[in-house]
Amino acid sequence: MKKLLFIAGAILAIILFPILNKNMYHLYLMNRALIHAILATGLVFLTGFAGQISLGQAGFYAIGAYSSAYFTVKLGMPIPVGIIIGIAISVLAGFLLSIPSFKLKAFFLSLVTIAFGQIVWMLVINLTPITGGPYGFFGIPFYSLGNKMLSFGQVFWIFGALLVLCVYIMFRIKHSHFGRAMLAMNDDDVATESCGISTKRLKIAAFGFAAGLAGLAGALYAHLAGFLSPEPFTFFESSNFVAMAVVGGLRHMSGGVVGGIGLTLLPEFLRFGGWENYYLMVTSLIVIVIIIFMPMGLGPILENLFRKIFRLKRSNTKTL
Amino acid sequence: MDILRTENMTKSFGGVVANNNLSIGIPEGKITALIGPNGSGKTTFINVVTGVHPITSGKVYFKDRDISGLDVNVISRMGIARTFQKIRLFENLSVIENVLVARKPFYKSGPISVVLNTPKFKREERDNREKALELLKLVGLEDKAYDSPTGMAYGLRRCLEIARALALEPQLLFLDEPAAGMTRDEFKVIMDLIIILKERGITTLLVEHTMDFIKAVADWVYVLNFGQVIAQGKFEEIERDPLVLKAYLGEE
Repeated sequence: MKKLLFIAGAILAIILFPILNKNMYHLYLMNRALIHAILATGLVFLTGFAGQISLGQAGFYAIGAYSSAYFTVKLGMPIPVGIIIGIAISVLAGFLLSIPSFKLKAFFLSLVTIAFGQIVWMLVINLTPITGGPYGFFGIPFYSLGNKMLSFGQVFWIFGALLVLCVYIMFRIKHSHFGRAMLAMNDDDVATESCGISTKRLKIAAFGFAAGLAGLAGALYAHLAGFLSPEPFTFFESSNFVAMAVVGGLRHMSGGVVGGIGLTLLPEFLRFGGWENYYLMVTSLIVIVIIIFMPMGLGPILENLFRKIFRLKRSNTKTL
Repeated sequence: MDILRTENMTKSFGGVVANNNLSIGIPEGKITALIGPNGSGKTTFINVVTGVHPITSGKVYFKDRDISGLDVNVISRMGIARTFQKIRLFENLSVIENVLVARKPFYKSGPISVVLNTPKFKREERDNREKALELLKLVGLEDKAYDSPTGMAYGLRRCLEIARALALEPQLLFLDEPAAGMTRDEFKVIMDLIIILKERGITTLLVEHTMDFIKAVADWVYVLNFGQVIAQGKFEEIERDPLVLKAYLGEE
């Protein structure tokens, strides 16, 4: 009952935020934060649950963004269709990237995923007829209903609903035979195979899911920004996404949400007058401190805090 | 009738021939033991048959079907389960979840029924949890179902691994040194368990060093040395075999 109350509270917070805060910049920032939360949630699934590393998520982010932009602008499709196509192409690319993971682990797998991210980035720069290259991709339609453009606040509600949906899907999968098999694979490949489970199929599914969320995030970003250039799709962004998942908590359901929102907003809080040159450095320092002193991330810490405040009990049937 | 047989099965790692032309039959419904000095190829035998190591040459037949070259998960689903010499549990899952992992092949719900949390999926989940609890009861772990396996005593961890293997509803069970490092009381539990399984019609292949254990349960014994069978028969027969004594104790 208290748990339901808590979830209702969270949803109420999402609904109220744009009503109480009319600052356009704050709303734009929160929209970016929700996009990052969706992407980082996929990474929590891939890395924290299924045990696979990807340092190339910006590649899927780019695929989702440019696909949706291309299909809406050049082929005149409605935005939702463009987004779905962006997700689909991204998922297919995710399936392909899962193939090296059949043989490679940890360090070697991360090298392959970095290479993937670089390949996509080079394509973004050089495939000018589709992406606009370094000049950018202009005139991507903003979210609208009929002829009416939506406000940043309304877009925030849509993004919030999508994020809740993504986390819910992940929650259901985690607490099923699929989720258990992924956690098992994270512990021991051979023992999982000996339980009659194809780890190849699990890896394909995990990479596909994470790529799908990254593609969704990219497509949402394209229509929010209205303009795409190669900068948000570099390796630096890929590692930033991993940092979000780690800071939020790789093993925690809320890890992507906490990390995605937290690391998007943190630099903004540090933008004091005269500090402009240092705030990114301070952000990195805080990330390092969190990873060293809270290796499980902020998610579990926040959860314990809420449990104390609301005196919730932990049910014993769930994953440890 | 042999439930599993190998034909000239050879496995080499570079220049080392771990299994050399092995032709072994495992009789259905019986307890067969595979013994031999360290490095004689016993664990390799299990790893090749279950598909963990690719076979170098020869064939493996399970119920007269050629299974050589199939993936580990395919072979497991056909009805061959195993435990590992060095216990391999899923430390991030609870005891009951460890068993439930091996129930996955029996689930019919796809990802969509899971996300929608359909009644069919809920029923499936409940049935499989019941099944897992039954198995935990069989090995005496039902009161630890929701604990982490990490801190548990060695003997209990071994029992959990056996329960997980049984969750696959296997026809053939490979136990790789189940009694290693156990106290006498602990391995008595496993001995009784193996006999119960035999009564239920499960064929067991036992790799073991504890001779009392083998003497008590094994119907048939194969002795390996340098990757080859040097003797086979009832325990009483091979116990006196001069080749076996030589392999274990050396020459006078």
